[in-house]
Amino acid sequence: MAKILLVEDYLSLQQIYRETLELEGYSVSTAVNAEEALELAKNTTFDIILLDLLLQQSLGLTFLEAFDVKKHPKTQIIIISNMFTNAALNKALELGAKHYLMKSEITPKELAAAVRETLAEMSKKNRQDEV
Amino acid sequence: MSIKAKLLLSALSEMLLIVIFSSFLVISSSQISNITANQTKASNIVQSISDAHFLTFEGLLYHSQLYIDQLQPENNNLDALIASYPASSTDEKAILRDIREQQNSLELIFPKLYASYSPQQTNQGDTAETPSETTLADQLISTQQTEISEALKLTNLKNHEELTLRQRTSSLAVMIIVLMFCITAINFIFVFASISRALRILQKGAHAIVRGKLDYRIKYKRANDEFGVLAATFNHMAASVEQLDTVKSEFVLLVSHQLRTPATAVKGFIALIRDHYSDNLSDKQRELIAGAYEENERQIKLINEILVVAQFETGEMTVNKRPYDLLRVVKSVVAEQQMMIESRGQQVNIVESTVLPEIAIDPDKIRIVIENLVHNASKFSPQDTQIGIRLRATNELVQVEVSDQGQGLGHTEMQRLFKKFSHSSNPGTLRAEGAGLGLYLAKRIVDLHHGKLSVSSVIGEGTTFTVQLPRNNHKIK
Repeated sequence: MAKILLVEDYLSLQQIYRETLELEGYSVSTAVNAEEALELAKNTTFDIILLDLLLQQSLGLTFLEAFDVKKHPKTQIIIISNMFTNAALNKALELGAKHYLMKSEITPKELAAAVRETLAEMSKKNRQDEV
Repeated sequence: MSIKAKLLLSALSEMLLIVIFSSFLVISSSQISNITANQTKASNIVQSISDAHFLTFEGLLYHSQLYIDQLQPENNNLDALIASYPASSTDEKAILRDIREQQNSLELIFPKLYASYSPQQTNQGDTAETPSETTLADQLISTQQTEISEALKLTNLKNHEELTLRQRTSSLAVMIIVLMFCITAINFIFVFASISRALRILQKGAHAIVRGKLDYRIKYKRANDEFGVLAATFNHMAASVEQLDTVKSEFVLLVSHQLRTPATAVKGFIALIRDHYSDNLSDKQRELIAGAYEENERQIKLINEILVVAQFETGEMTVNKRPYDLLRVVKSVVAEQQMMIESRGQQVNIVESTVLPEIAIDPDKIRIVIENLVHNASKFSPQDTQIGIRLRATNELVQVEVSDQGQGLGHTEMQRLFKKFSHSSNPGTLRAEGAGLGLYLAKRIVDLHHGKLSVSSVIGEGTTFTVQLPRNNHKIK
């Protein structure tokens, strides 16, 4: 079962995405700020981290900087946001985020589909690496 | 030096010149009046001399007459005395006769003398004159003439002096006027040039602010003059505007974000029911949920449009260009709107006239353009019609045409089509649902790509929107 960390401070959205992802059969942990997320990431290796770029308490970029993607090669970061500047997005991509999704543009089901595709890409890449 | 000081200095120099000029005129006029006084004196002298002579003549005449008058009784007395002498007193008689002769000669000389001096009688003087009388008269006349001619010389000399002084005065006056004019002109040019330069600098700043360059600050060297103060105030104002604009922009971003997040949550909840919990729902319930979803989508679209417009207005909208296939954008938009288009019984026909190269665009922004054009084409077309999308490339540009078979647009409507909050007023078309920002946004985005968005329409046949995007970065005219 793929492990997903959902970092989202807007609780309604957190509930919706969590429920959808769980319905799709993923194990979902949630955090509302960078500190909580970093704490969870310390003990668990997540396959995917869904990260809100503009969190109220601490910016997603703070998490990305502290998390250090290079030290977690098995984890993929997907930015989910409703509001980001180009500079913030470019910085996030620089810091190792792979994809970004506008929350207002997608349904929860489409988010789950994006997660599924990313996982498929990852396993394909892993198999290639093994071969 | 301040403009006020410059103008003051200019006025002072003018006043100084006027004072100099006036005092010069006063001095000149006093000199002239001096000369005039001298002339009067001279003419008085002439008059006095003439009067004196006249008096002399008068006196002479009077005294001559008096003398003759006195002489007459004396002569008579003398005659009587001679007659009264006895014949024996010959010697006495001889003396008395001698005196009587002298008296006679005097009696004769005086009238002649008078005649010789009298101006009225000088020319008639053919009477015999004794040389002494003539010499005396000539001497007197000559003295008189010399004196008169001296007086006249003096008058002439004074006349000449007056003329010279008048000439000198008028030429100096002309020089001073020319000098005043030159100084005024130089002052005017100098002050005007500095005002004009300052105004140009201010104007440039104001234009920059109008164009939205709120970080523009005026650089004006003379900080102490009025324009320096104005420039400083202007810069202060620009800073305030910039700050306000930032606040406004942050506010709009915050509000949009705050609005969009709950709207997104509503979308999520409805989608969750629709996609995962709708098994036990009736058709009616499904229909209502679909309605809620659609309205929510519209709400999000509106918020997005306002947000994008706000980003444009605050200059935050930037394009991140990268090589991209325009057909991919078109196909993705059509796929997304397929359901809406099909629900109206409409069909989309995509035609590529040429092979399309990748061009440098911001696909997210160009997507907004194509979305709006396809959405409008469907919205303003009747049921069961075709929406044509034609793509082609030339050496300079890549072009997308989106045409509908709607009612077409009138001239006035086409003119205000790309303005903010513009809605279609065509009867028979659906009431516009958006904020009237779609085409405004589309045009702004195409402009940012140095491209061109144009429209052509035939009433009753349909409308075609054409997007032209340059293959190099040259602006399409």
